[in-house]
Amino acid sequence: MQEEQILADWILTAELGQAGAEGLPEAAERASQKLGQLLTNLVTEVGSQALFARALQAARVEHPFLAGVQTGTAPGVGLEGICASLRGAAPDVARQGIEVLFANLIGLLLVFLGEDLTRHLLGRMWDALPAELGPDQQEA
Amino acid sequence: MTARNQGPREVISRLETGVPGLDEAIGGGLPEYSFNIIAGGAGAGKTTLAQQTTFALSSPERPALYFTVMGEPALKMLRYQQQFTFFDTAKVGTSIRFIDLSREVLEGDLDALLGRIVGQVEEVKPGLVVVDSFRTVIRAADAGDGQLSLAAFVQRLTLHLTAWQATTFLVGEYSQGELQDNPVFTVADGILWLSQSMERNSMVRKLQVVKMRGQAPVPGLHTMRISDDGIQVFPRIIRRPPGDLGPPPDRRLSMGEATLDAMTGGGIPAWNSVLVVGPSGSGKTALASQYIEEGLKLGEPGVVAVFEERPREYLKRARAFGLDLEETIRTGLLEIIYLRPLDLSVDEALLEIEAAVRRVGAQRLVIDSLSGFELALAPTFRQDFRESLYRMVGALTGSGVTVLMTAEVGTSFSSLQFSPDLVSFLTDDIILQRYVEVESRLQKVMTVVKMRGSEHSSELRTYEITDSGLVVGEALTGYTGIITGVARHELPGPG
Repeated sequence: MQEEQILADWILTAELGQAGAEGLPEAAERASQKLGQLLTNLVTEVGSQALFARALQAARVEHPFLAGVQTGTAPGVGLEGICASLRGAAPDVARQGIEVLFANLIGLLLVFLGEDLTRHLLGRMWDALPAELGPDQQEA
Repeated sequence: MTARNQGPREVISRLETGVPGLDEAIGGGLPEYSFNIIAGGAGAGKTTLAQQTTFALSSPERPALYFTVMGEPALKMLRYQQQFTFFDTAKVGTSIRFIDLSREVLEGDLDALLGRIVGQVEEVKPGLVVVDSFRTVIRAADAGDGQLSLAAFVQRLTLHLTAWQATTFLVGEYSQGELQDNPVFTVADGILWLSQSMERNSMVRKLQVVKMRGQAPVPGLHTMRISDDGIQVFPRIIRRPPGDLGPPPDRRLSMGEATLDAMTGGGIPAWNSVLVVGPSGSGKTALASQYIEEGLKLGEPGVVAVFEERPREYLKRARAFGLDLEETIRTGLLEIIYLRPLDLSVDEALLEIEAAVRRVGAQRLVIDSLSGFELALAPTFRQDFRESLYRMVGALTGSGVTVLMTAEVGTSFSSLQFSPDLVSFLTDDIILQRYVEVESRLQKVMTVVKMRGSEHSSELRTYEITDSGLVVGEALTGYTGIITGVARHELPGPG
């Protein structure tokens, strides 16, 4: 599993908490907002929208149901239309799709900032994110 | 009459910027709560200076707010700045918070911009605030139609940040012509001006402390360098006030050759500067090495600054003169430093030399040679070589070191040249080596030309470089025309 996939999986699992698969849309919405805030601070709103758009475009190739998801237009909002799109997909497909989308986004951060700084900045949004996260530590 | 205003005065705390050499250049550190400008052209190192200082000064107790404006988003700034060793990932988002102000600036609304900055300051209560780039704010203000004028914005910003006890840096691209009548420069407590210039393929970076309220910065242009460790400033050499260390001791330093010591009146006076001049191959380096080795024998640590060859080659050459210096390097009595970049400044060289002098507690220093030193300087500094050398020699001897420098001069058979580039007047003492023809044989001769404040021999003596070093021989007597290079027997007088 790639670093960005491990991190995306951890973030979604953390946001889901005790909720089951039915809580995925809301968990993804919260994760998207946090990532949006982080990116707005790093690259401005316009830059954040550009990064989300790129991640979204790549994810839609594998998961067409993400066509209903759009980049956010309000300040600090990463994505819009997540809940509706995820509810319309089978639970396992929804989970895979949103995970790919977040992994694409985190992958871009890893390219620009490197692993240490990306983990550190994600850790500012998710306090419990472990400094080291191997394949056997993916459970939040 | 009673003196007024003699009560206890407020002592301003000075912060260590974390930029080597900068605190000295600005007069002892950055005044706490001061409002400062870092200005200069593109690529001058403004953001690096601001970031290096921010990483050095920020802590959980003294958090920093770093406002980015339009120019460089935080993502790119973090990407590039993390290459420097001063970058501390753990401080990002904790001790240092990056806030983007692009939206407010794009709208050209200074009221909204001030409100955002003040809001963040009230929330975070930072000890340090950076706005990078403030120039962008000014451009937006010029273009916008807000009610708040730039002068009023700057004044309010200053007052807010001072009220919140924040030490502030505004970073911006400015030209020298903009210093006049600009409200930003008027209210600033400190202005650091960065520049870079190219001359004959050599690039030199400089920093000037244009203003620093409440303290005395070192005047002039200081050279600076950007490396993996960030910025290092080399404060301009200022000659130490005479008497800093008291008067020089009444002591002479042996050159390791008894006859030569006798010629100099008993050795080189302590804390003097000596210039050994001669043509190529005359034995200047041999004499310099002997001077160092004699000191080491007497327990006087030394430093050799070489410019023309690497330390390994220097040691090999010393071995050829019968001198084994390697053991003394191992025991910390001797340090050989190699200074050979082609964009060196005199101040940078001095800093390296002074650091080595401090490390070994050197009493003797050799600079071998001035010709190589001059070549190692960036072209822009060669123009001021004599003036810089004067300051450097003064600084070194003023710190209690006896300095021996070598310099190459051509062999002239019509005149006597004491040094290249007329640097001989800068030194206290001069020893001249040269070749002369005596009875169809080329011989090496030396003489003491000058020994400031001291009697010395005026003899011209032959010498040889042997396996055990430089050995001074007989005085050349009974000859005339020696300094022309062709010695002739004196004709017997009449009668």
